[in-house]
Amino acid sequence: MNRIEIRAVTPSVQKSFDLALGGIGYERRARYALTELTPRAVTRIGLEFEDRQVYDFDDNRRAFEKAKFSRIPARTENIASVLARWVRDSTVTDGRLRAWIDISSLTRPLIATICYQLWSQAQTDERVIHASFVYSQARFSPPPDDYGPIAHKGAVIPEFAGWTDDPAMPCSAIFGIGYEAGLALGALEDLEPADAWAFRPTGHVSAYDRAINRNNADFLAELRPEHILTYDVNAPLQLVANLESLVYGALDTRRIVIIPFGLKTFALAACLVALQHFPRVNIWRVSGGTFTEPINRLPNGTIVQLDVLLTGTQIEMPFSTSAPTASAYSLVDRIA
Amino acid sequence: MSGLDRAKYIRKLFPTLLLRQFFRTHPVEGIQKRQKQRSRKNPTIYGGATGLLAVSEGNPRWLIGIARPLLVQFRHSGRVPIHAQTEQMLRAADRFRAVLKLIPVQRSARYPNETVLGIIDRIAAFFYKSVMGSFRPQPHGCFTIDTDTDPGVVAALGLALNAGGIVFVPRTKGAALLGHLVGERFRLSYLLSVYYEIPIRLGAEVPLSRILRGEREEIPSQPTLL
Repeated sequence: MNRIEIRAVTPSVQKSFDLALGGIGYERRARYALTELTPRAVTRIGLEFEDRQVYDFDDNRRAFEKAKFSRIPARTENIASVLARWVRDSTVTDGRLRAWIDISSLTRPLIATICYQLWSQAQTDERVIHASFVYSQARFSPPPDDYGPIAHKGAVIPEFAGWTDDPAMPCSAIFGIGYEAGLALGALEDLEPADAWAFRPTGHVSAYDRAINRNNADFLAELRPEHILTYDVNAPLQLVANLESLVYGALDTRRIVIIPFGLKTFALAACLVALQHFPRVNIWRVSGGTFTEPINRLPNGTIVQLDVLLTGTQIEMPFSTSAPTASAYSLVDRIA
Repeated sequence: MSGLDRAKYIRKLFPTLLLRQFFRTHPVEGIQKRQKQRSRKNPTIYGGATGLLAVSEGNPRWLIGIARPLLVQFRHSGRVPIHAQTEQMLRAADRFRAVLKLIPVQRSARYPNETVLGIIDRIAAFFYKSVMGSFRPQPHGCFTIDTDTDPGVVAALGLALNAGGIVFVPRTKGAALLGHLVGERFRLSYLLSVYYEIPIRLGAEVPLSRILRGEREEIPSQPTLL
């Protein structure tokens, strides 16, 4: 198991960072955390989406420019090289590099790339990286009637394709569900896992619950009731703990595939858990890509934050076949 | 009526008539009104061993998927009611449609937002109209991918074929190998028939480009039975 320390903190605890990173997309919430939290950072980078520059895109760009963010195209290869350079060239003052990352409007491949790149650079350059991931929750907007064509189905990024010592082991699928109609059911049928689990978000307005119930009814009917778990959208640390616990318990006898639909915080949690057990956990992505009709998601005023400490230390080789003897990370309770 | 005519006009019509009777409203006595199509929540007409085996297309996974929940009822009462059988068939069709929905496609120049499932939906809608619309003795039930078909659609149908959404229908016995799609004949998987309320039979052939252009059905002259 790899050493990653994860803690949940209130978003206002830390103001100064070595790096601030956000997505410049078409959703209004893309600039919400930036304008509310006003993070100060030596290096400021806005990942600008090249497609569908509609709705609040221009306003978001102006907000990032005003905060003196440099803009680069939002491509996984760009962010990988930028982060590698940043970790290598940054001067460490208090023993750790601090990064502020707003995942609200980032795609799942970008979130996965950021997590993987920070983790692998921490090892390569023997650094300690303190990453503060923030997420601006969205006000309810009805799900689209039709999700449109699917452009991608498979590993979220090649690094999270998963690797097992025993390909004959049965597969276990863990779904994070949202209100995307029919996608979870399709992935379940496609993967044909030996068993499947679902993490269902709670703690939001009831309209979300109704939409989730309606659009996942067939999927949830396929699962054993005790395999349907819930997580509070305001408690990302608890989500990571529960997801990790499930993965840890199953890894010896199962090949794990996590399919993160729904909230980006679930995708983030999936990446962090996959890194703890790297490279054994597979993260899937099913997406319409640029086929998907853009929806302008407005912020609901709540920002959640999850802090992750990535160290250069590995206490167990990732390819080891033996089971970890103890949990190698610590979960720290919410710090007020 | 000769034996040939009997076969042409009565025996071959029978399955279509059954389906029309099941899925159309019955005329009220004394009121001259056109029959309307109606949707059945549970299409029990597809039930029974023959229907169950046809719908599962010889695919053991589909058969197991449909039959496993029914075994619980069988153990309990020694029989499985028709409505329970068709309910499981519908659930299997829903699951299969979800798989088809997830097939990634390349953006087609002519149909930029078309999905594999979207194409299948359009083909099925055409077949449904052919069966349930103005009466025709042999409704359409299979299609030929003709040269006018958009290459993006042909590519999507190749993916549908791999997934089992459409099934190759050789023109001659033994021609089971398929080298290319254009010029060949296909039908929809019978598992989907339950969902789309179309017959579990081959039916007449129609060029795919005609289906996708949304052309109306030409109504053949009605046979004189008496």
